[in-house]
Amino acid sequence: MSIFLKQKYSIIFIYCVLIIILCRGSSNGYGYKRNEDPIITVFKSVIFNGKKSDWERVKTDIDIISDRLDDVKNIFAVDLRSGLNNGLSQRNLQEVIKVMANLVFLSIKEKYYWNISEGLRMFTRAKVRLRIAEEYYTLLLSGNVRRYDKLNGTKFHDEIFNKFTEARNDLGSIGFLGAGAVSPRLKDFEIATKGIEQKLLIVFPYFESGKEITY
Amino acid sequence: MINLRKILLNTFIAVLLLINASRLSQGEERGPGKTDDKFFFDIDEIKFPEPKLLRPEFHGNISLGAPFAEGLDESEKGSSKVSDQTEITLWAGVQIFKNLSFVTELEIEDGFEVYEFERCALDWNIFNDKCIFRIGKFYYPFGIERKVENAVNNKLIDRPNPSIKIIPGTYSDEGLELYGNIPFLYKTKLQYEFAATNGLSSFEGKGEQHLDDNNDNISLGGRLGLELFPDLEVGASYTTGKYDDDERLRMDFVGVDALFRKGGFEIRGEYIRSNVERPTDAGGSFDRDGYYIQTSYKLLPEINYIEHIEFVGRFDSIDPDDLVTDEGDMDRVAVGINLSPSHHFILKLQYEMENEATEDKENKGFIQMNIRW
Repeated sequence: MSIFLKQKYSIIFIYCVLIIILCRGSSNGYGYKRNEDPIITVFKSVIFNGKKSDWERVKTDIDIISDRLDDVKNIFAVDLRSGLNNGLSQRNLQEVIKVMANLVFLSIKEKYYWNISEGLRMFTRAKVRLRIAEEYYTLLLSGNVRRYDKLNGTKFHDEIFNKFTEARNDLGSIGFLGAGAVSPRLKDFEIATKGIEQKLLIVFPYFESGKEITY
Repeated sequence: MINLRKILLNTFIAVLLLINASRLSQGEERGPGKTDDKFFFDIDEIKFPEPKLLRPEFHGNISLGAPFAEGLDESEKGSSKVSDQTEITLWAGVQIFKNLSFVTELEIEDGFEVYEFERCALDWNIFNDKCIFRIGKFYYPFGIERKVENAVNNKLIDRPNPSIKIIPGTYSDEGLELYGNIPFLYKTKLQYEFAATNGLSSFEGKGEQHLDDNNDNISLGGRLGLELFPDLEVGASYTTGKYDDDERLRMDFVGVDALFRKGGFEIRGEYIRSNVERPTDAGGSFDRDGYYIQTSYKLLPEINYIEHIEFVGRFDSIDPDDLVTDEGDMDRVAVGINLSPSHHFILKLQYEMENEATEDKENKGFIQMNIRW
């Protein structure tokens, strides 16, 4: 028995139809999708499995990011594990999600921490860290910030968004092989990121922010 | 009368007390309720972006290579030809419906003279990545080297010998495939891939068929992989099918593989064995086998303009026919260094030492530039 798809013309035809007719845009990167950050993946999965009350899976999901919990504990002296364990033992999704959101907040702070510790000398690395921090905020926290804005008549989301833009500009630029390079503005970066942090703490007063770090 | 007044008064006081008590209890409930409002994280406010339907993505890469020290006759060493290192890959993919996607990959190689569709398949995600049905042309699910064979993912310039001389090159085939990942206890995962395809038409490298089939036999096989931890994966593959026009001669492949990654360190290895039935007058049935081990370490230096530097070492060994000992039996050691100034650009340097059973040792070096978009 032969497989019907062996006829080359049918495959070429399908190829042409799908590519020529459906093509409307393009994007960067190579064909294999960029891996999603584990915090985002796990957050998504915890919501999905938590809503189905699949607590075994929620626990397994959280195990995946145990190294992140250790990281924030080492830097900011905040132990989120006990909160997560409480939420898991009580099977309280709200509690688990709140601690997860706290982890997101501390992970954002961690990105700033490394950038500031390096003095923004490593442009590409600093840019990637800031991009991830912004991604964490946009995907996982911004919805609740907007909700807070609606309830309280504030504009924290817009302000945070602007602060991210400021922080991005403060990274400077390496230019092209040094030509057109712009030096990073470390102090301004610190001020912008501190602003984001403070606003998030107003919206999420239950977040543990950990010990104050002086650079 | 007095009693009635007293009763009314007491009732009135009791009602007042009850109202106060009830307000007090409501207040106690409302207090934390109000605070809870502020302390409430609304899960429904998290909106993950849905996959964009009918918005295709186009990617690709170009690899330009050249030898800087060559010690072999190119005609004898197919994998080492200069032109083999220059190729373009064009990739396109589109999410048609939520559970249906299409991927195609066109490779232009051998000095831009050979055009091949390596992939052209529809994927139907039946159950949440746990079960996906594929139809079309796809990389045959054997071993793990196929996942990194492309120039931008391959840490060295050429591919391990067993992956091109035991398995015929980039073995892609037309047919049906069922694959998925099933989570197990703790962090373990089972990966399965089963395929029914047209199969090969010869036991030699040229046996790969592109949009043709020399017989009605279907090749069956696949791979089972176990992700023991997120960093360690082991797997086993098997495939069997009749390759000749008359469907009398069977050829099968069996392989085991392992991959470990930790931080910037990676070690991977594969062993592949194949049994080939061949007419007695052509030399009789024979076995062939090969293996490779590759290690690499990726450094992230604190230098702007360099995203990473990667050091790679590989040892491979093959015996393409256990009945004869010839130049095909060889061991190779390859070392390489890759420099990536940005996500889109990699410069690779490789030096290779070959030790053939019947010839002297040969050394050669290559340089290659990969640009991806």
